[in-house]
Amino acid sequence: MTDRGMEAGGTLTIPETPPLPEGIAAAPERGERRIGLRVGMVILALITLVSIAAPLAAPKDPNRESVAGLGPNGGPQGPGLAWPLGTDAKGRDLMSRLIYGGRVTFGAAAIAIALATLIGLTIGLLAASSGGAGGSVLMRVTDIGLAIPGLLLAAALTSVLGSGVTSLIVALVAVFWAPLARVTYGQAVVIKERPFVDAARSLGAGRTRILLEEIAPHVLPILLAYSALCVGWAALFESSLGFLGLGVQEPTSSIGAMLGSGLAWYRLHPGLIIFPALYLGLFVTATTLIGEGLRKPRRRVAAPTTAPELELMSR
Amino acid sequence: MSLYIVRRLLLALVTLWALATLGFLLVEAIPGDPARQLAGPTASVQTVERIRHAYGFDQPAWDRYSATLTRYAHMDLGYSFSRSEDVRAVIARDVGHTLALTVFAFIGELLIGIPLALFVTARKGRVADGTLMAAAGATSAIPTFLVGLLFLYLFSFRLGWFPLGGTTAGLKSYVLPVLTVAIPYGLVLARILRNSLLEELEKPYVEFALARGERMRRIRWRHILPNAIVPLFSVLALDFAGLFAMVAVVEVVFSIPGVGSDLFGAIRRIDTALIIGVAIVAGLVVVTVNLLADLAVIAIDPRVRRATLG
Repeated sequence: MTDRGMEAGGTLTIPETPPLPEGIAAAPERGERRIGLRVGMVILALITLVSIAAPLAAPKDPNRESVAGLGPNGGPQGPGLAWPLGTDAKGRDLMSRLIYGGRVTFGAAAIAIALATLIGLTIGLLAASSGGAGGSVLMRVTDIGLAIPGLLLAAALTSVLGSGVTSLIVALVAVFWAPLARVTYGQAVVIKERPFVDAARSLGAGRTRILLEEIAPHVLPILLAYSALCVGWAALFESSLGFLGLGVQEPTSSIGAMLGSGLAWYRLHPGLIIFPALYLGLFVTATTLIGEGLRKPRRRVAAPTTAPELELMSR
Repeated sequence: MSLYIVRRLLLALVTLWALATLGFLLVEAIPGDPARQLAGPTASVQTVERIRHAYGFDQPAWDRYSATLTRYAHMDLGYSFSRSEDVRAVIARDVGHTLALTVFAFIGELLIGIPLALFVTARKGRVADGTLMAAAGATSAIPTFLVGLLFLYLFSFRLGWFPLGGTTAGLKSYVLPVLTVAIPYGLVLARILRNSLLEELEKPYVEFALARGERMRRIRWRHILPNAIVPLFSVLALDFAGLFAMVAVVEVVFSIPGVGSDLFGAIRRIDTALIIGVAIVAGLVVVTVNLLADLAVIAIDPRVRRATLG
């Protein structure tokens, strides 16, 4: 057991409960896990397919405003034969905007989390392996990152960096690198104390080699499970930002922008809110199922760290 | 103990400094001439120059940075041009709404989350359990502000039970915003707490208490709940930060004049002084709550006390 709780006096660490002895019931929900994981993968594959093939999948040009798309009162139209999900206030086809908007929102979320995972992995591993002053400085920086309310940070960043997908991605990376670094660190310090690391060291492996070949492979599965969860939450962040009029701007479509602009009509045409919300919900459910499925260990190689603070980020 | 508190206070100061610095750098990153923006497009060159000098935009960045930090240290958060007031005055007037909403929502979260978790733990694998897991999953798959919108539509617009927004109806106008945040947060808290309760249930001391002849109900409340919830304290503190941010968004949905509405109004007008002011106040709240939570855990849990204080 390390004396992590004492180092640099930063945040508290609850003393680790020792990992279960080998051979004790590990993954009772194995069957359940497989089903959830599979369902999530199928949904995600479908959404990805539709997003990649957006020009083929979308019935119309998402940005084409047309008078024919407007209702008799000059407002949006409800779902019909010509417009599968109806139109928005500018007479644009809602279904096409949804497909293209999903591409922007989900794509931005995936790219941002991929970057955030790389940053979090690097910082977490460095902090865990260097121990000492350097490591604790890195973790204090991470703590500061965790202490800033993410949504407010993302809102401030997108407002200052200007609208557009790039600034959206930057804002999402700025929010999500810290929790991912925290997970990496939490997992890495546990792995570091395992006997096989000592074994590698006694065989003459250097620090870099231990880090990359012994610790990193055990950190990755848990980290990737959280990354999957974070992709969904990043998409939720985008929707909140869009609702507030930040992030991606007209005429480019995104789930958040659609929710924001649908707000004015939601009493007459709830579809303008409901359809984007459903599509977003489907995506988030898929990433959650995948993340939860991956998080339950297949083989108990490492005692999985539960990180409830991450679960709380989900809103 | 006192050494620990001093360290933590230092960390809190560093956090606030980091926020202030981040804010300063962001403002620097904004393209365009700040003096011209303040003066407006029709102002004369002389006016722009005067403003540039008055606001110190003609000083080197380092001087402005140290001047800004000095101002913050004196509790001067600058002047909000979009509100034509001191940032401090705006925040002092509005932060009450936000804090009240956050605290009510937090209490609501606990009132929903804890009993629900205890209730379903006793029924693991049955309908109530499954329903909770599904409901928690569903509410975390849609953005919280949409829950607020749904409530607004249903209870205010359709049924007319609550006002459509604002704070003119007194306590009644807080009900929907608080529920909007408390229900999804409470459900997710219940799910997290359920998992740690089930983990605790496996521990040997439960069996020992049963062998001693204690009732299961008493064991749940007296032994398992405290053991499961104390480690969640620092998590709940982090949650408070998220809650604060979520309340800021929900304020916009319900047109409540708190710092959230201020912030998003300021963002639309690019009123940087107000943006940074709200960010610093939010940081202050978060840092304070985290510190209090960690101190509470130290006070309650002797294991943590030993690990932290040596």
